Amino acid sequence: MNRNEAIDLDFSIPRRQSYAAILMIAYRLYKVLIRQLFPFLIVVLFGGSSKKGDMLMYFAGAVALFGGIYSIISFFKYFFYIKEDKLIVKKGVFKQSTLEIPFDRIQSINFEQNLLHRLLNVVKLNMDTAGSAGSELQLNALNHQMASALSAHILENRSAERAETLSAEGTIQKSKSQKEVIFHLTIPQLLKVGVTANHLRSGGLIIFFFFWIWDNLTEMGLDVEEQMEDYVPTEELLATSLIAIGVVMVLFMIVAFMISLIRTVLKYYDLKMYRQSDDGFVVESGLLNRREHAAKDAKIQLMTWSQNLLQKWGSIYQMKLNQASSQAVNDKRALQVAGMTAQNLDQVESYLFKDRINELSEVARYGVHSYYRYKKMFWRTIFFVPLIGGLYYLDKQTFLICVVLLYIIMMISAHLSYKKKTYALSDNLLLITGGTWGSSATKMLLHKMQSVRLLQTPFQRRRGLASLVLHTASGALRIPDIAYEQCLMLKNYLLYRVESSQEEWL
Amino acid sequence: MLPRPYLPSQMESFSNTQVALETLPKVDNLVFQPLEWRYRKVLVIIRVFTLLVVGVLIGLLFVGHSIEPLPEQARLGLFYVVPVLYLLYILWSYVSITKRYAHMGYALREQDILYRSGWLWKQMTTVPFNRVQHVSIDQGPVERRYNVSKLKVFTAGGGASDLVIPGLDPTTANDLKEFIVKKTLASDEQE
Repeated sequence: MNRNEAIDLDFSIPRRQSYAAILMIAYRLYKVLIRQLFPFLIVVLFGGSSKKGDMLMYFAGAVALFGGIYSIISFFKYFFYIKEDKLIVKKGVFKQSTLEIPFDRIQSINFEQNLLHRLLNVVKLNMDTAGSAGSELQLNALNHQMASALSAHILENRSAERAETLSAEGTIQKSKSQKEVIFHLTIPQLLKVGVTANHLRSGGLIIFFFFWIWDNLTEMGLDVEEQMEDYVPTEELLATSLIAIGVVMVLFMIVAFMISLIRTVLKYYDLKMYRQSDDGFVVESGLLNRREHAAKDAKIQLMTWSQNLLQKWGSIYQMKLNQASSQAVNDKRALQVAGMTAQNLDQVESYLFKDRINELSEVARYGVHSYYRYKKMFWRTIFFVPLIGGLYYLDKQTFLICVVLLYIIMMISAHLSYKKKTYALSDNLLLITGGTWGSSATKMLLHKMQSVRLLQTPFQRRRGLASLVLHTASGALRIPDIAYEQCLMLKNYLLYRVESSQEEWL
Repeated sequence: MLPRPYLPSQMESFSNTQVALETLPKVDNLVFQPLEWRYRKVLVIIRVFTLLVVGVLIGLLFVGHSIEPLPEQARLGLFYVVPVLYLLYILWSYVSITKRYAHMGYALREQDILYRSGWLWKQMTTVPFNRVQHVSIDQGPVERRYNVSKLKVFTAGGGASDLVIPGLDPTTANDLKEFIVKKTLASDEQE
C-alpha cells in the first residue's frame, strides 16, 4: 500500500466503488450460500442418486445466477459521496437506504486486504465510529488512490476540536515515517508460536467437525452406521482394536497439531506491531488475509497477556489489547499479538501506562477466598461422582479409569485456578491474574471503569464473602469470592478514583 | 488489609455523600429508597401469568397421553407429587416476591446512583454520573396499567453494565432522569 500518493479527488459527486467490488460482493454472498448448503453438497457427493444430483446441479446453477445478478445490481446501486462534513452512502437492491456519517464520529480508518483484494489490487476501508451499534461502515473495494485520498480527506476535515486530538492519525495515513516497529514475529518465532498453540482446541475443532458432518448426514436420511459397516468389517476391527485405537489417537494428535500450526501461520504470519506517533498501536498480520488493526491508547480499555503450559516452557506470551467499540464486547476489534517476550510486554506497558507502570510492583497481591476452590470442586464432584458410580456399577473398566483420571485432573485444575486467582490494586491500576495450567493477567487503568456491581449469593453470605464485577467499555472484569468488607472498600475506592478522575476513558 | 490506596487523607477533598430525597440526610449509611408499592402488584401479576402458563402445561401433561407408557404406580405418584410441587411453587413465589420487593431500592449520591436488588442472590450496581451515556424511561403494558415507570441508565459498558430501576412513579422517574442528565453534563464540563 503506497499511501504517499494521496491526491485530492472531488468526492462531492456520487461515486461507485472499484469494479472489483462486484467480485467481493459475489464472493461474500457465495460464501454464505455455500456454508448454508454444505450438508446438501455432502449428501450429493456421497451416494445420492444421480437424479437428485441433476436436480441439485440445476438448483446450484439457479443460486449462482441469482447471486451473480444480485451482486451486479447491488454494485450499481451503491454510491458514496461527501456532503459538507458527512460521508453519505446510498445502497440497497430492494430497498434504498441512506447512511450518513459525520466525520467527527469516525474514530479511525483501517485498511484491510485479503487474498482477493491483493489479486485485484484494491483495499477495503473499515471506518470505526463511536456510538450506537451497527454504525460501522465498510467500503468493500476501492483502489489505493481513492482509498487514501478519501481517508485523508475525512481525517483532515474533522472539526478543529477533534482534529487536535486525532491529527496524529491523519498524518500517519500519509507518511509511514512516524511508525516505529516495536515487535516483529520472525519465522522461527512464528513456528514456536505454532508449536505451543492450544492443540486441545484444534482437537476439539476436529471432533466438532466430525460430529457436525455426522449429524448433517443422518439428518439428510443417510444411515451412516450402515454405510460404515459396508466399508469396515466389524470383526476384523475388533481383533485389531487396540492397535487401531492407538493409530487413530496418534493420527488425531498429528492432525490436531498440524491444524493449530496452520491456523497460527495463517493468522500470525509476518506479524508486525508498530507504535504510531506515540498515541496508538497498529498490528499487521496474516498470510492470505492480511489484516491491519489500529488502536489509540485512549481507546484501549484492558491489556491482557496469557500463557498456556507449552508457552510457559517456551517463555512466550500472547497479548490482547481490548478497545472500546460500538459493540461493547467484540473480540474482533481487539489487537492480538502472539509470541511476545516479557521485554516486549514491558515495552507495551510502558507506552500504555507511562509513568504508572511500576505502581503495581510496589503493592501487595491478594488471593481470593478458598471458597472459590471449594465451589469449583463441589460442582465437579457433583458431576463426576454419579458418573463414576454408574460406570463402576456397569463394570466398564477402561472408561472408569479414564473418568477417574479426568476427575483427578479436574480437581487439580480447580486447586490451581484458585492458587492463580489474585488481584492487586495501586493508585491508578488494577491487576487480576488467573489461569489453571497456564496463567494470565489483565491490567486496567482505574478510570476506564464504567460501572461496578457487587454480587452476593446465599452461600457467599454465610461465609461473609461477595464478588465484584467491574464493567469497562470492552468487557467486564470479575474479582470473585473475596471478603464482603474488602469488596465494599474496593468498590468505594474504585468509585472514588473514577468520580474524581479528570481523565477521559475514551 | 488492603494496600496504600485506603489512606483517608487521599479522599479528603473528595465528597460523595448521599443526596437526600424527601427523607432525612444520612451521611454514613446509605438509605435505599424503596420502589412504589404498586410495583409489587406488577411483580405479582407477571408471576401469576407465568404460573398460569406452567399450570396449563402441567394440565396438558395429565390430559394427554404422554404419561401413559409409565407404570401404574409412577403415574399415581405423579398425580400426587406434581400438584404438591406446583402448590409449593405458588407459596414460594409469594414469599420470594414479598422478600425481593423489600430488598429492591435505589439511592442517589453526589457522584453516583445505586440500585440494589435480590433477596437470596443479592446485587448492587453503581454507576458514576461521569460515565453515563444516556438515560431513558420505559413502560411495559402491565407497568402502564399500574402507572409505574422503569428508569434505564446506560453506560459505554454495554447491556450488562446498565442500571435499571423499575417500579418508579412516572414523575419520580422524570425527576431522576433530569437530575442525572444535569449531573452528567456538569461532569462533562469539568473535564
